[in-house]
Amino acid sequence: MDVEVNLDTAIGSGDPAESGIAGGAELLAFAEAAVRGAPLDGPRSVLIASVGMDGAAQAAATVAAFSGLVRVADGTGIPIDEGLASASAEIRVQLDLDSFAGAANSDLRAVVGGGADDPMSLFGGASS
Amino acid sequence: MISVGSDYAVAIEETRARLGRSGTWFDAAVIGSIVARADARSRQRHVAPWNHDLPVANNTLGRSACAVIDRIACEPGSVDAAWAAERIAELGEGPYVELVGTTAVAVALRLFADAVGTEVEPISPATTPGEASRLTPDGLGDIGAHVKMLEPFPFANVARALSQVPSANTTFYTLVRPMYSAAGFDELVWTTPLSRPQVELVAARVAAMNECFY
Repeated sequence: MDVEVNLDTAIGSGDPAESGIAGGAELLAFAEAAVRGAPLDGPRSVLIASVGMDGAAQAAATVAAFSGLVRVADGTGIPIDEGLASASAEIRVQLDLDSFAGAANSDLRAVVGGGADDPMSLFGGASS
Repeated sequence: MISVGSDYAVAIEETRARLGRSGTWFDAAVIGSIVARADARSRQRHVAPWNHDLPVANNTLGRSACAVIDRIACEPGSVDAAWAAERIAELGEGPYVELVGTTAVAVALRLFADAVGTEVEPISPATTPGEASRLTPDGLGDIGAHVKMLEPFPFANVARALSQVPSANTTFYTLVRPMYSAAGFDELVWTTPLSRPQVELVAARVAAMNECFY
């Protein structure tokens, strides 16, 4: 899959219409309204028209899942692993992510090979 | 309103059932109070703090516990090592972890309900809620986080964040795993409604809005 993505839109500094992802503007508007607690009737209807009912449900689930994940990560202060520190170096600079307070939890001098590029592995260790 | 598929509905019901039972450090009544407070904070996330209408800190939840719930619910990106250390000194490390995990679950339930356009029902205590186990797993170590976690850990790093409190960890992933990995990341060809780039765009925007470095 070759997709040219404008990462700036993910941090709110780019034009949502220029995300490079189908339905990107609608997904971003929906996610932002949901996180802020803003009125959702409009963004929800527009999103359903853009990605369908099931797509909108998956977007809502993603908003919820990551709203939980960020709280667990920041609340426990878990540092990023060395592989991710290395793999994310360029993107962190581009998006100024190292300015977030949580960056202090990680040793960003660590640069080793490899990278955690498989999101499915996020859940490999969950207990049951 | 967005129609929700059975996978998500089942995950929510299973999560709510777990929240009605005692955990590792808190009994079912306290967990219910944690969820109620976290949900109230999250529901009023667009309201100025001085206008919040919150469940009062009473004998069920002390001041320190409320401080953790409020911070995790509304300003998780502002948590630093010093603040966490102060709360842990007041509460104990295990209870702090359970508060973080339970609050995260309550917020996720709230945001999902708001996103699809439904209501959040109060948690009903289980008929036999059990007692808090107060058990800490073997194998915890200092990996440089605010709290100890399983070390070594054979799976992806973030999945061990709540590993000090297995009951909270299980409750968290009962909800979050289906909501995220239902996307089918291990498939070469995606058959889910949203493509992987679409899912990652939403995920990245949510993380950035919360100023989450991780």
